[in-house]
Amino acid sequence: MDQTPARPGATLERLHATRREFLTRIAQAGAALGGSAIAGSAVAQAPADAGAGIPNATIMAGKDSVLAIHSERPLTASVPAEHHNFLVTPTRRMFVRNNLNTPDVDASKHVLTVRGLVDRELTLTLDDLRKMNVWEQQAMLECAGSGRTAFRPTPRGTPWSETGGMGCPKWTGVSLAEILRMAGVRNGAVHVAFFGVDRGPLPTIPPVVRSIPMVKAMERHTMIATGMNGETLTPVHGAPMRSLVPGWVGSASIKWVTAIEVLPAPFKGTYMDDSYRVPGTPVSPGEKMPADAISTEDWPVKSMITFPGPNARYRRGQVVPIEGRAWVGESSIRRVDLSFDEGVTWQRASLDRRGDRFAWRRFSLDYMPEKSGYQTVLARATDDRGNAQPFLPAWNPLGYYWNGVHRVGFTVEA
Amino acid sequence: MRRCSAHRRARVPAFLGPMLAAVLLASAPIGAQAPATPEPTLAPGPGMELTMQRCVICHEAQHITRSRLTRAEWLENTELMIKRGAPVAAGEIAPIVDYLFAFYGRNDDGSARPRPAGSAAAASAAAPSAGGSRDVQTLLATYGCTGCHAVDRKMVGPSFREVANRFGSEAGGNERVARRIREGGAGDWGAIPMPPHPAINDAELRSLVTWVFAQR
Repeated sequence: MDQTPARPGATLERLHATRREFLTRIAQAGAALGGSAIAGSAVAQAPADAGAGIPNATIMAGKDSVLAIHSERPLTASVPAEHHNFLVTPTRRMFVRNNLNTPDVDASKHVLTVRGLVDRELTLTLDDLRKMNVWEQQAMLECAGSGRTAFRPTPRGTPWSETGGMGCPKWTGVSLAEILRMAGVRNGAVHVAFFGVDRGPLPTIPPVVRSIPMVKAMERHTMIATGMNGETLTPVHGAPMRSLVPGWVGSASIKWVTAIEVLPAPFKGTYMDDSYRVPGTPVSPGEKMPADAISTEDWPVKSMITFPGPNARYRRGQVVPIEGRAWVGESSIRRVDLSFDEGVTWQRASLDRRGDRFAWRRFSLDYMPEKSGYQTVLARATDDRGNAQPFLPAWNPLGYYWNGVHRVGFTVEA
Repeated sequence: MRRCSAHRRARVPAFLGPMLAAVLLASAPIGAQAPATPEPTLAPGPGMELTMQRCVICHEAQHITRSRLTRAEWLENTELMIKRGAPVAAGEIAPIVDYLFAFYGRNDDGSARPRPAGSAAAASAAAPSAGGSRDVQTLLATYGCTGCHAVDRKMVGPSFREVANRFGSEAGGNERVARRIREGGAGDWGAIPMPPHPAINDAELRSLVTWVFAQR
């Protein structure tokens, strides 16, 4: 047994070293030959092993045409609320949020290393995972920036629509706790970091690494998933294996995971220290990130109206069958209220409280309009802690946690 | 280019009208907002080529053209991108931020900033034209080709001469290079991808490829 103390910062140091070397190379080339155009030649000499990954066209061939692309490089795509009217999000409509290229991983050669503050370092293959306690759960996954475009001013970042950037498929996998118990977590373990194999187009680009607190890592719903909706994971969703941290911002769940590192402190890196952070004390809209910023974790209570879609038309005397989904990170949905008068009065929707711990809940209400013309329906969910959705969530510099009351308009013809 | 709004409308049953606009109007914009359909290419102007070289390797131009940020925000964003691996040397930060703020800026009070004079013509030049062709030098500038390519030396991408020598006499070389210009991609010259140029029309593509192949 190797008793050498774990050095969690080692990976980051290596990255920094590579980056320093690369920039030095560019600077030297620029200095020697003069001019930024020549400096570009250093870029052109970057090794070809960075890998362009799987082309977007191949990925999108497996997706519904309603999945709108927000960015080609890196690939991000989602569907708005009216295309979410499923109890389980179909794989073809599950949102995509890559930070780097989509890697083409050979599942037969892929290994998952468990290292850091553990008694036994593990190297697990896909077959090894399949021999463990594989189980299935339906669970929400939502990008931290989902709904960002509803904030004013709109912060930079993926322009997710008010109801884009989330989905609730079924996941198959092994509890991370089972893997960590097999490795034996040592005293002093505080965070668990996930490393993916995805890479960007330049060697200077750091990989996406995020860590989560030990308590969430040991919670049984946190898993290493190998399947989605009863099938093998597709490449863009992290094949052959990915971490799944249900209820938490999507970035906690790392695709194409190849290493799990148990750490004595949160991982230090740009995806921990520069992104996925919110002010500890709220700031006024447009302000900079304050020094007391904290890492994003679980999603606050949220809901969306999945039916009717935008601008539906009904005849007078016809029932409008309102339907939607409500979810929350570390609590559970207590009730959903609907308003047909812009929030002046509310009526309780019927709510199906059954379902997996981190799955969304369906709500519905058959509404008989009393007047004709254009009108709206608003949905507001409340969780078991008594938190309800606000009309305008607290603005924050990176545009995370949008959970404003969702509003859909329809017209009743006389 | 696929666009959200087009897709949102795509599968809405005929009896449902275009509701998206109503939803967007419901949350009335305050201050300068990014355009609904961001321009696919960077606006020509001082610093455009450097910005193209340093930024558009990793992400498409729309990440920039859809944004309206203050100078401080562009600086902060540029510094973040450097942490994320952008190959920007210390002396290049100022010219890049100057360019970004000049063309994609907003004032500190949130109000929009006018584009520098002459950029309106440049922006309309970047829009897909009806099918007519423009002078090759205009095309090279409009689509930012010279940000990454030179006639006789390798920059971020191969020189036009290298491209001509390799594909100029190859069967299907025309189509191959034309496709790379329009769709972008990597592989022929290493891992650094060429950004796609979806706004370019067929006539412009033909002029550009003909011109590139003449650089042998």
